[in-house]
Amino acid sequence: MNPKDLKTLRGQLWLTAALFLICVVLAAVIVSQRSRFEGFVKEKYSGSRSGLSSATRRAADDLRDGQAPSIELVELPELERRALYDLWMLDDLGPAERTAQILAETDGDFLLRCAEQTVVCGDGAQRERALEFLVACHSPKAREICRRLAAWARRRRRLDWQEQIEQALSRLDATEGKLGGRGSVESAVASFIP
Amino acid sequence: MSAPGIASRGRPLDRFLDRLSIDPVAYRALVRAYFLMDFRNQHYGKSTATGPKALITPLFWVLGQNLIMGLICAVVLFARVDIEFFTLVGLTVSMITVGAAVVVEFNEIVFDPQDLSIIGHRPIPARTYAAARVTNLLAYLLLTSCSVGLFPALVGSGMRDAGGLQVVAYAVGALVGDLVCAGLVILGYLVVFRGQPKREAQEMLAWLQVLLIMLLFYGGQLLLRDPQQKVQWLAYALPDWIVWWPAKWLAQGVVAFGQGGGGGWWILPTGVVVAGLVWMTILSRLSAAYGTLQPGRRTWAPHASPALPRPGELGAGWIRWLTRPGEERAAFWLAWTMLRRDPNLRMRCWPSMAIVLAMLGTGAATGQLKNPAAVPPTECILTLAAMYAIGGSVPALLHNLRFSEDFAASWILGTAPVGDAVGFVGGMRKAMFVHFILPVTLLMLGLLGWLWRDPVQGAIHAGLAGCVAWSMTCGCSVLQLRRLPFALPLARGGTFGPIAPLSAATTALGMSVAVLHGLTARQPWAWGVYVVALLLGTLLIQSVSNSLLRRRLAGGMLP
Repeated sequence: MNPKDLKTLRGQLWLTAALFLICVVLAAVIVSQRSRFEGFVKEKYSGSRSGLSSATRRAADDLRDGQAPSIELVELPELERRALYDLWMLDDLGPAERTAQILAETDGDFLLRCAEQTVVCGDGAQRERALEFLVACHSPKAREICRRLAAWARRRRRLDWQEQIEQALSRLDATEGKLGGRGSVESAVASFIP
Repeated sequence: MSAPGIASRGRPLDRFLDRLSIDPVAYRALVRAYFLMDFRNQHYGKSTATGPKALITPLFWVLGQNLIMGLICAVVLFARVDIEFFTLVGLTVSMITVGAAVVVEFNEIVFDPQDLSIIGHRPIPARTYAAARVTNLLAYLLLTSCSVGLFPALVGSGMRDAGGLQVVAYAVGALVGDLVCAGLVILGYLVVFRGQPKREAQEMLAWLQVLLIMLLFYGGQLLLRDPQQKVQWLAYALPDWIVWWPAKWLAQGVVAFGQGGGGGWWILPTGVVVAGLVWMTILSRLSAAYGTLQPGRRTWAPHASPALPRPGELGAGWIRWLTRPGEERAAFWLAWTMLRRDPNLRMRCWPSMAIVLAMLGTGAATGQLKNPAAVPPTECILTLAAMYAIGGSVPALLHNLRFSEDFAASWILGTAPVGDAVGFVGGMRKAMFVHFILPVTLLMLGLLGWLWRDPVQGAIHAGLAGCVAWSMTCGCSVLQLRRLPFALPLARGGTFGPIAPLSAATTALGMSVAVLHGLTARQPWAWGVYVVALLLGTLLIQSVSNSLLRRRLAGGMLP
């Protein structure tokens, strides 16, 4: 077909049809690369302490020593509290379960939301660690979040995620059973740590 | 012209038309003419800078832009969010785009009083005319809807939680949403406003695709680079108000239908019925409107450009305060008037500022617009980049002043007695600065002052950004404003191509100054030296550029 023919109505319709056809092929290529796209889904943690305020750095040091922070975490700006969670996710805050427990006691609601967000937005390893955090918190809210997440995973037809979340839920239920539905977070955590 | 009845021995379509008392020959000729007009559509022709006789027609560009929008949406959201959110975004973008397309091409696809002067004297029955118009309208909507929805429909069907009928359900859902949206726009103009869209609105909305592409491109980058992947969180925890958004209902219906059942499967069939009802109303209204297109009937009045001020009244008081009398004030008034009356020129200029606006938006959304005086340079990169990237957009802005849709009248300016060419260039660059750069620096002032809770610091930083932009305006005007302004027709690729090296140079220079700012901002004495040096440098550049211009423009401006 020469350019003159392309300038006719029929030629333009053919050109448009060709454009659509190319797009269909491109869409098929995108769909075939789904696992590659799924690989890009993960959270990024800076892990840098240089940008943190001195109070937050001190709190991080306390947590690394396995102690409760000497300041009220809820009084810190949200970004700084999130940075502490990021450090926990990077395993840069001392014993994981003990630290998670302290964090949950001091800033539970915010950090539970961070963990829920990681399960939704993170990759496999991050999801696993966030679920560990939820289990370590051992609160009714954590159980509620796990149930919500399990329903979400089912809706998204991710059986692997659903299995991960349900395992965490059953660990939470088991701990609750041992405690008879009562007890402090500390004793709850102690009960499932080998 | 064949009389009804003759076609009864012809093709099935002709027999069908004949039965509806529609003249098949006239119908076919009209539909063909309208399709041709669709490909040549005028307002999109201006925003895509393509002529009706180009190989790649305006409509083709528009379809390409729609496909790019769908592609960006699909790529950004694929495998990240659930199918319902994916569908919701796709349908929303589609409805906005199709609604805007109806406004932009209202005359070509819905109703044009000028048809009266072209076909009014021909023996075309009103019913045939209405049928051809409606056929063209529906075909145009179908084509536009397909172009926006192609990628979301196909890519969405490849998601893990999509049902087996997702493609079909999405296609039906998108068509229902787009038809209802387009129908409401048409009804709005036919019933509420009782007229056609204003030329200004049409020309501005013709840029919607370009703006949406930029928004999706920059927004998509932001989403992909977001360390916390907030788009997934948004899809997981949708805000409560979303239940009032019709596209949400439709998305729920599409997903349920695609999965072959589940809650909300009835929404899609209901949507089809609603779309049918809306279009029955539109067809009756359109038929009535088409009935007015007969010789002797009053139709909507044609548009005219806004009147210019009387000679001797060049500009308001603030223009007189800002400019010196004579050539400078005349050039300022000319550039200001051209920018005001030519929406396409304006819309070709604004994308140059998009990178600055994107940086400000991204920085504000992610908390990265920090005060350089309070944090290390590595933590306020976006603040510095946004401040000094304004200078990088200056060459494109100055270059655009060479184009206009009224370029054919540039001979008037060419023959005008411009004695002080330097003053003339000064007026041009002042107009450009006030029209584009000043609003952005004021926005920066407000945003930084609010974010830092320190209006003084915000004002200082915005002022510095303005200083750098002004010195670059003076510097670039020596190279770029030697020829008559507004003397060239709008041309594809003409906006950025020729000035790419200059843009790269000004951006590099701006970023070098940004590094100096970052290094000195936390030491009071160094900061003071930096600010003074910048102010003196601006004055020096302005003075040098004026003397260079005086030498270069001694013989007047080049044609």
